Amino acid sequence: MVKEYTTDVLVIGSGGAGLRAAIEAEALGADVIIVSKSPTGMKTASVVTNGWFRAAVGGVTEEEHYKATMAGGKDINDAALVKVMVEEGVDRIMELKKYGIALQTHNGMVSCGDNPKARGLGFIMPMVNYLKGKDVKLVENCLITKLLKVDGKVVGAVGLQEEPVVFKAKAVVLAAGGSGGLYTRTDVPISMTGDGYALAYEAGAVLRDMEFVQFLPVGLAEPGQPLIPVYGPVIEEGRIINADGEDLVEKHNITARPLATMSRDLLSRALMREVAEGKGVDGAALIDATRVIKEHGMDLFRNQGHRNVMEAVKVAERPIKVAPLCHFVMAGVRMTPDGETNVPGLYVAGEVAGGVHGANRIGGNAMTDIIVFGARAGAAATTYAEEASMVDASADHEIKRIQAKAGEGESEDYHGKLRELMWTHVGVVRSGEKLIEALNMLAVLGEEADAAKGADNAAVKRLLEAEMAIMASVLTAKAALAREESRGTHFRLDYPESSDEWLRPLLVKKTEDGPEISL
Amino acid sequence: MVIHVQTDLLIIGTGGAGLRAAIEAEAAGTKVILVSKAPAGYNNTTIVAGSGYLAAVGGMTVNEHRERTFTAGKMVNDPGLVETLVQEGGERVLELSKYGCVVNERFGGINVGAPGTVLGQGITLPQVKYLRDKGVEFVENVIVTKFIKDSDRVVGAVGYSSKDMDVVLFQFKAVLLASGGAGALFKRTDCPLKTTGDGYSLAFHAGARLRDMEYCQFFPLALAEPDAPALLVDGPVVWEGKILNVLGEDIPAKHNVTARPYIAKSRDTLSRAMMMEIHEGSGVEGAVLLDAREVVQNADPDQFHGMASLDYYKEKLRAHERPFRIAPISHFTMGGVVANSDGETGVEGLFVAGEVMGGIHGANRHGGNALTDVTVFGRRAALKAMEYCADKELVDIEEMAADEVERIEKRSKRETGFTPAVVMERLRENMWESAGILRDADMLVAAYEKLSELRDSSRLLLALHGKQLLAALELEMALDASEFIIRAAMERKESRGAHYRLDYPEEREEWKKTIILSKQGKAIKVTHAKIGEAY
Repeated sequence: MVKEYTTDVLVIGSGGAGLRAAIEAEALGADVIIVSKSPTGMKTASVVTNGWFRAAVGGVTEEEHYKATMAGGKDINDAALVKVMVEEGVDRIMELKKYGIALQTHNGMVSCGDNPKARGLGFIMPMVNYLKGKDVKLVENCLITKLLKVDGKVVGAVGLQEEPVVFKAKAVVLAAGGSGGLYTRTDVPISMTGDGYALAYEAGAVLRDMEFVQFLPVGLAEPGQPLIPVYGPVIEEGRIINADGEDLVEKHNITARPLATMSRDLLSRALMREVAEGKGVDGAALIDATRVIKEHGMDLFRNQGHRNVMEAVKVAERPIKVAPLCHFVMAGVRMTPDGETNVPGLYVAGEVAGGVHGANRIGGNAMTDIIVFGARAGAAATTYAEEASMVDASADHEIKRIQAKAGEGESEDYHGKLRELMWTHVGVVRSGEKLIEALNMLAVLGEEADAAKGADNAAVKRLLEAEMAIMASVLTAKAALAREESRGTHFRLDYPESSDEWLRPLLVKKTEDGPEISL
Repeated sequence: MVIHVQTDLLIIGTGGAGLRAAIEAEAAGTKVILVSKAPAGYNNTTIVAGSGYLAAVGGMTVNEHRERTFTAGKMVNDPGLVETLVQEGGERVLELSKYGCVVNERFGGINVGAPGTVLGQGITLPQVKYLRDKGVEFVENVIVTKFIKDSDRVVGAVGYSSKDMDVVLFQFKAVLLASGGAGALFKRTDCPLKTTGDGYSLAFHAGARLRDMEYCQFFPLALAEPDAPALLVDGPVVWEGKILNVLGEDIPAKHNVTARPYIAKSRDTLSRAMMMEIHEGSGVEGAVLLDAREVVQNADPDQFHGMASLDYYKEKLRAHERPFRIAPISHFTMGGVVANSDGETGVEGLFVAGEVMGGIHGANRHGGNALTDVTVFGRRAALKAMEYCADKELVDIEEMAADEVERIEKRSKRETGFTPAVVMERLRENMWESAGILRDADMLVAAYEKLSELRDSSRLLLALHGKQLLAALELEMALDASEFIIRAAMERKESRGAHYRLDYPEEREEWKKTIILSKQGKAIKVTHAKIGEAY
């Protein structure tokens, strides 16, 4: 049985952007459905953040916020989007109190959640609960596989729960998050596999900045231990070294401190270059923090979980292995400040949208971004929906495709293969050769996944998700190959310098011959 | 109008392998037709070969033949194929006299051709005549563009005749692909310009696997004088002359190239040494120098047979007065379709022989082994293919071929754009510049990106019916073949035999394995196989 829903505004994704869009649309009188591939609010980047918003508060001016954002983004950012984020950021943050979120103001930052260990939850759960009190339908554990289009307009979506589900909507807000889960080493939920990029691409939307993927420079890389990010005195005062014991901060002339926040791109790059040159240890660099621990004691790890891990790896006695962690994807669908895309009826917000952060995001801006543009996209989609009529789009083709994925088949771990491939070939340090290899391996994976069958519903879902993940990866690798310079988080061994002729975003859109990249 | 051709065994290619296979099929009474994209027997590598066969005859032992083949091949040859080559080589080369060839036995092989015969014409033309006399049918000026499969079995092929300007549909019980290599994908070559790797593309798209595509042999010694053809240089000028860089340094001595004669044993190392000198700026306009003044002044004209006469050296090159320019040229493709010693490919109904088949020569071919290879494996593949034909029926392919027929017909509709020749020339320049003798990651990336551009231009070709359309169809397969070479060259991160990476200059034990390319939907899948386990 195919389930069918009808609504004014369909929101895909239940992280901060999707929830905020739904709140806005509902408040403006629209019928709203939120569909997410996990329980509402869970497995999103929002739920695992530390809950810090950057904004013009606590003595920081809008001008300063704007400049810091553009400088961080290496001027690839869409200035109009940044301007809106800066101007509306404070209001959007402060009004979160209405939905039951606790806030605390700092210098240039606002933090949320009253329990410091659950700040992401403190941000997400109040909004989910707020929406549960409204007439908003939450459809959970539903993987969206296609946006439905009629006459060039997006008019709904098809997804898979236990059975295929069809959504008919006057407008769709895509807030499906990024693709940080496509790397072996990542601190975002691994369910973030870039569905949104693939959905928008297939629907004909223009995407931008697909090559820009942010890595935190220092995460634990000890076998059998969780991939926790390492902050504080361990990095700032410890010695970050290669297998030969050379001090990498010195060797690579990294001066901006604190390293963990101000030198994310350069330090990530330095570590992975050493690994690429064969001076790593099992694909990682080392931090010798023995003197730091002697001085500060183990109390410097305030989080008990982290402290246990650090004790287990004997940080007080020996150098520990560290390597970067994928953290955020700047890439996304090109949008106006109202979240409009080039496809009528399709709106975007949050990490799936591109242009706000340019070539590198500065800390705290992700949270501000998603609530500012979540609210705007929700409002704009509602306005559009008021004028639009419900269109009866045929979903038969997509339903057949989904049903055809079921069958006898061996379960290949496409996600695992993909994550390994993205980490080794499309990660921190890139080269033309590796990227071409990656594209070719992705083409093979894509063909294999396309031909594969899933033995049960879960396996079918994994396959459908893998196909979208492979598409998203292709877009990233293609853009990375096209940008023949290094800028922000995008570092090419074969083009190590920035160049002014590349001071423009790369756009990608679907053509008959596959993705077409243009400046 | 569509031309229909029906036969039991279709042989694609009329070089040494195809002809030898046809002789075997004809003798067994099997209905056989040969198809070639040029007039039969011309425009293949055999006809421009130096006419020397390496085999265990004239006093050379099988052991010595085997050892030479493996040594030249850097030990990555397929051992089973080599064994067949050396065991059967002697008998096969001597019996060529039965098919009209003039065979002159010597130590370690034979030379074919009566005195005064131009290159390999003494090999192909007598065999073509032999077959014509027996009434075997040749379909000429037809390029085969696609194999048609009925479930898992190849049962037909689509081609295009430049003479009749029509599509040709072949129905057969089995097909023997003997379409040669891809030597002409590189700008400087002594291979006929039609040897652009059609067979690799055809077989690959039919589901066959390719191996060793990174190994492209360059012949080190060829003229590189402006206004002179790129003739092979050998004989006394090489034996006694000196190969020098612009500083006057002896290149073989400097690079420790000692295995002689160069023409047979040091093709890879000497080509590389010369290109290194050019790469490092010690060349002369993309060439190095051969100083043979003394030799040419005092030489006996009778020692100059085959490639260029003593008069040519004196009058055209003034080689008695000055050093002249030489540079390597593309000569042979070691890589090819994965097959066993019976030419079976793993794809039902598809057999291969000759240069299009891979594995015999490893990373570098020993001089004289190509001709032996084609006679040995041409015959064997024919025998196996006939055995396969025995219980098969012809299958109607009209409907299955409709898409390809339509594609070919659409191809001729454009009336503006680049001609295929222009794009092919750019492709050949690209392969020479960026995927030739010296390779590194950056060059291969550039080669790959240029290839993508050329593919884009190839979609907008001006391809009028006739030779131009044939060239357009040929170009598409040449682009495929080039991609196979580039992909394999990117994959092999070491230097071995004819494959030299500036960024990985050493031979490495962990790379002593075979790189396999296979078709996965629209993509090329790259895998590795242990030596001897590719098939």
